[in-house]
Amino acid sequence: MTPKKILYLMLFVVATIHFSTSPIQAQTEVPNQKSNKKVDFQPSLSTSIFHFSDFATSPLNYLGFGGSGAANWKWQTQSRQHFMGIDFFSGMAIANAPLSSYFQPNNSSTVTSFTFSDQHLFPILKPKLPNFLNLSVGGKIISTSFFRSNSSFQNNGTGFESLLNLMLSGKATVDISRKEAWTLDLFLFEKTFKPKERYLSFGFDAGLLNMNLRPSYSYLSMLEFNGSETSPISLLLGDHSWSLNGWRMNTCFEYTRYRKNGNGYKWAYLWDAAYVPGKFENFQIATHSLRYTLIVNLK
Amino acid sequence: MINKMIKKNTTKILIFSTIILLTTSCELVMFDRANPSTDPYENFNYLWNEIDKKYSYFEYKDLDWDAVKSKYEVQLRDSMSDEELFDVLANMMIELRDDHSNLIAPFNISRYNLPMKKPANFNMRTIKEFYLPNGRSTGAFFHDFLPGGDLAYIRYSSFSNPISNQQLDHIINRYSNTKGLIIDLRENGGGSINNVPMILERFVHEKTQVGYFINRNGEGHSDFSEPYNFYLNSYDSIRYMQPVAVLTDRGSYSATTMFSLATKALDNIILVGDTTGGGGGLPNGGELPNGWNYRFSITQLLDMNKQNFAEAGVPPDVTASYDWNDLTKDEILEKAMEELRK
Repeated sequence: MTPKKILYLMLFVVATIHFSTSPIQAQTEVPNQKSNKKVDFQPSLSTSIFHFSDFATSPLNYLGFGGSGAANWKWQTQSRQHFMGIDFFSGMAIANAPLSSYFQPNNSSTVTSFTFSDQHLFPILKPKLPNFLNLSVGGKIISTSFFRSNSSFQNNGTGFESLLNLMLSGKATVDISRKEAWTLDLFLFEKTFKPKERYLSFGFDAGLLNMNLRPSYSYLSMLEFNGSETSPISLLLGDHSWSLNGWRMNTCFEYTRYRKNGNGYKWAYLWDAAYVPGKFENFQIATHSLRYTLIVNLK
Repeated sequence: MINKMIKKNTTKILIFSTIILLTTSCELVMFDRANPSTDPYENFNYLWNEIDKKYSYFEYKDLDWDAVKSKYEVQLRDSMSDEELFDVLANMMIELRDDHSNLIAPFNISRYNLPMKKPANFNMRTIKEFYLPNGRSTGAFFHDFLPGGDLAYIRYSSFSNPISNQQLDHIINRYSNTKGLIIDLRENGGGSINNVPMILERFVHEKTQVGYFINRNGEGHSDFSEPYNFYLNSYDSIRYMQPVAVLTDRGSYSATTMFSLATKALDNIILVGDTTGGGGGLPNGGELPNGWNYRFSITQLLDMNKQNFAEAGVPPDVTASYDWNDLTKDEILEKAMEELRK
């Protein structure tokens, strides 16, 4: 299969799910749902702007653009929502070196990251809230590993850090569904808007326990060198150490639209920021992403 | 109808918008501020501090880094040009007397340039014209039998040039019946340290410790890690069993110095020529507030007695020098041949 055919096939699958209205199953995915369990597979694509600084190698901020692909699963019952996901991000950033009227330095860095997350949310205050609003709280464990490459830093050109965060999570969901059809009279013609099931939600995660793996004092170290059997990974990571400090926060502002068959899609704005002091010098990164997610109802 | 819907949802929209704005602007308040600057004083202080915190040879070289600061700080001016600032910073780095210390701007790279301060001892034209007129090239290696056919010569000009085990198999098989092998690392300025054991392990017949590494690990100039072992393994297939001579000079730097130091722990290898250029420390890399780059040594390489002489250069076992009055003869190569034929 050629790459072009694979692309067409992927677009076809996405379009089929996005626009699918066939009543395969009754709609179940709403916060006020009555049924017992719902399982969704939620693949997504994002485009992001991000910026980071690693003060161990540079006093400058790097601003860049990237994209990510993610696979998420959601299990929902009336008493709990469970999200699990993996995310692969890749991007390129340029240093905000001050403008020079002589020769402009232009260092750049690639950033790749892998994220695994697992979140559990439990509804709260249900009887006291208006019907259109649902609140839930819970916890999230998230692990992200960053691989950065900047050839101008020579032997320090490869940066690696890993974050492991236990977070307090909260989510508010507002039902903005159109319950009844209505007609807009435009004099020359009329447009009828059918009922639609849709939600706005805002999620917030704040790190309670923030662990990070950061480089040593000198950033790069020569540890035991076992000739040609020396593992490149041991050279890269040998002198990294874990610390319990810093902070991490995520927010997610989502618009979700469901079809009658339980499939749907989401548009979301996500913010992920981490401040990582490590043992010696700080690393900080923030990502702003626009994400499109397909919701594939599995059960 | 639309107005009615907006009115109905105004509160919800406002709440969400406020929360979004508040949370996503957190990073600007809570992150440390980056510090891009062309100010000569800020760049000078940043570089001086980085070196002060991490450079590994202050004590070994008896360097008074505070005195260096005083010497160069007075040369700064608010309105100095990029080239003038480069000269001040570069001269400050040259005080380290270390070819692993460089300032890298888009228009120039500073160097201490030790090889230019010592006599040259290598002329490839002599080798090609008078010793290996039909030399073979296998990847990065230039090699052949030497006149007489009992010895072989291998030239490896840079550890930055990639090599493979297949190439080494081919070369060592070809010369397996010779009485000795000469590896010419003169003017080899270093490169990938992974290529050091790849070659040396062809001459090691059991796992051997050949040195130690220590890393700067604190703000004090004498703050170092515990020593970490430097081992060579024995290559498990084709190895060379006869004596080996390695030719070095002041241009043999960095990975070549590491190679040369390792030979001191191996009985079947001798160094012939001049002391290596040094460069026993592994250099780091970083960036200044104005976007220029730098690097300097942050580790030390020690011999088996935990002696630190690699930065000043590994001395040869047999000293020889090239006579530039006679370009038909390579005295260092001749000396190595003589040693191997003993």
